[in-house]
Amino acid sequence: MTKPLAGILDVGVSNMGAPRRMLDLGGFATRLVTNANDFKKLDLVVCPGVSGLDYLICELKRLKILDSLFEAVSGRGLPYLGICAGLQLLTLGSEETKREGLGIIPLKCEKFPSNKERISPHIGWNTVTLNPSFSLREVSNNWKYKAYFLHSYAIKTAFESDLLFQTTNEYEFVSGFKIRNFWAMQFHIEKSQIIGNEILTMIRTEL
Amino acid sequence: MRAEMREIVNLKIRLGELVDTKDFNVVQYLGDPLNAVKVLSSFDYAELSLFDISGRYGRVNGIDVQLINRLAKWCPIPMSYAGNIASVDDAISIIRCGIEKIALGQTWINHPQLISDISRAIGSQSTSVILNVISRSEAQCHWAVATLQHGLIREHIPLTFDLIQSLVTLGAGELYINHVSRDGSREGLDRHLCDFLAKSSPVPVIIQGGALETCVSYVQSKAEYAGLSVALSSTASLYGRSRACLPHCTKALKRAKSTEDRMSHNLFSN
Repeated sequence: MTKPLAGILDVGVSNMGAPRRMLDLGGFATRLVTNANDFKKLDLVVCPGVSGLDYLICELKRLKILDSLFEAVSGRGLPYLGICAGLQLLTLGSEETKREGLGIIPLKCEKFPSNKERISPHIGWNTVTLNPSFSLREVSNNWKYKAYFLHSYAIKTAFESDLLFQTTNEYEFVSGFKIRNFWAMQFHIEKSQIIGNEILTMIRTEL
Repeated sequence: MRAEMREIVNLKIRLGELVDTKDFNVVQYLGDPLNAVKVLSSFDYAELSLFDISGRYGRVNGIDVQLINRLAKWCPIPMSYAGNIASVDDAISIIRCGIEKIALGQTWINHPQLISDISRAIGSQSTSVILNVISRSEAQCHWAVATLQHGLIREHIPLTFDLIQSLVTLGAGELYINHVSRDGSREGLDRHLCDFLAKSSPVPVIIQGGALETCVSYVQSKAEYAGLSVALSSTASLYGRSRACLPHCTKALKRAKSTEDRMSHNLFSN
C-alpha cells in the first residue's frame, strides 16, 4: 500500500525535524515544500511550529508560497495540518502582527497577559479537552489528554467547527480544531505523544 | 488551571561527551549523551535540556549540529539547547533539527540585542535566556550574574527586578537560572532565590543548581511558585525515578560511599 504523501512547509525558520519524524512514524511519506510547484501530488500539507507568526508570514510571502498555499488548501481542498504557528496562520493574525494570516478563521489571536500574577508565555504540559458542543464526530466523552504547549498567542473565543479542543491557562482558549480540510493544533502534536498519535491517526483515516 | 510545573533533566556536554559539573567545573565523564537521552526521555520528565559547555574551555568551531540532530532524533519529549549560540542563524539551525527552545548563554551580556533578534525570528516562547547566578549573600538575598570562562567565574551585574524586566522587554520568553554557587552540591535549591524569582518574573523560570527530586515536590506544592520549574542534573535524576529502571546504576550508587565515588561511575556508558 502506498503511503500518503505529506509536504512540510519549509520556510527556513520552523522546527522541521520533529514533525518529519512524527509523520515518518505515523506512516506518511514526507517531502519539503519550498516553492509553489511542490504542492502538486501532496495528500497533506503540514505547517510546523516554532516561529514568530509575523516572521512566518513574511517568509511565506518572500518565497512566494503564501498564495499557492491558500489556493491549494482553500481552492482545491488539500488537507492542512497546522501546528502552533501553523494554527495561527489560519487566523487574521494578532494585534501585534503587521501581516494578516490566511483568514480561514475570521478571528484574531490574542497575547496571554504577562505580569507578576500571570505568567506568559504558556510553556509546558497542560490538559486538552474536547468541547462536546462542537463535536460532529464520534469521539469518546472522556477525551482528555496532556499535551505540550509553547506559545504566547491563542484564539480566545470558541467557534463553530467539526471538532474543537480547549485548554485553560488563566483563561480558556482554543487548543485545536478541525474545520473541513483544516486540522490545526496549538500544542505540539509531534511532542505530545498519545494525543499526537491519536490526531495523526484521525487525519490518516480521513485521507 | 495552568501548565504543570516542569521537572527537567539537564545534560551537560563537552566536546560530544556527557559530563557532570561541580561549581561549574567538569568533575566527571558520564558517558554517551545519546544513551542518556534514550534512557532519560523514557522517565516522564517534562523536558530535556542540553547544554554544550565546550565553549567555556576554549575556542570551539560553532555548534555541533550533527550531534543535536542525532540527539533530537531519539528524543520523544520536548528539548531545549544552549551553547555557542552567537547569531540568529545559529538559533534557526538548532530549531530546524527538532529542538523546541534555544537558551542564550552569557553572550547576551555583551550583545543584549541578540535576544530581540532571535525572539523576532523564532518567537519569544522559544527564546530562553540563561543567567549564571552566584550568591553574594544568600541570607541578605544578594545575587549577581556571572560569566564563566576557562573555569574562572567573573561577577558582572547584580540580579535585580529591573534586570529581569529588561530581559523580558528584550524578548526573553523564559529565564534559565543556573545557580553556580550550588552547582553539583545537592544541597537543595536556594529558597530565597526561588522567592525572589517567583515575585519578580512575569515569564516562566527554570531553576537549576543543587536541586534534588524532593525540591520538585516542594516547588510543586507552593502556589506562589506557579511559574517556577526545576532542572535536575543528569546524575541528580538518577537518585530519583530513573533509579528503579537502571539496575546497573543503582548497584553502582549503592556501592559508592561518597558523592565523588558515585560520580566516578560512568552511568550512561554502554
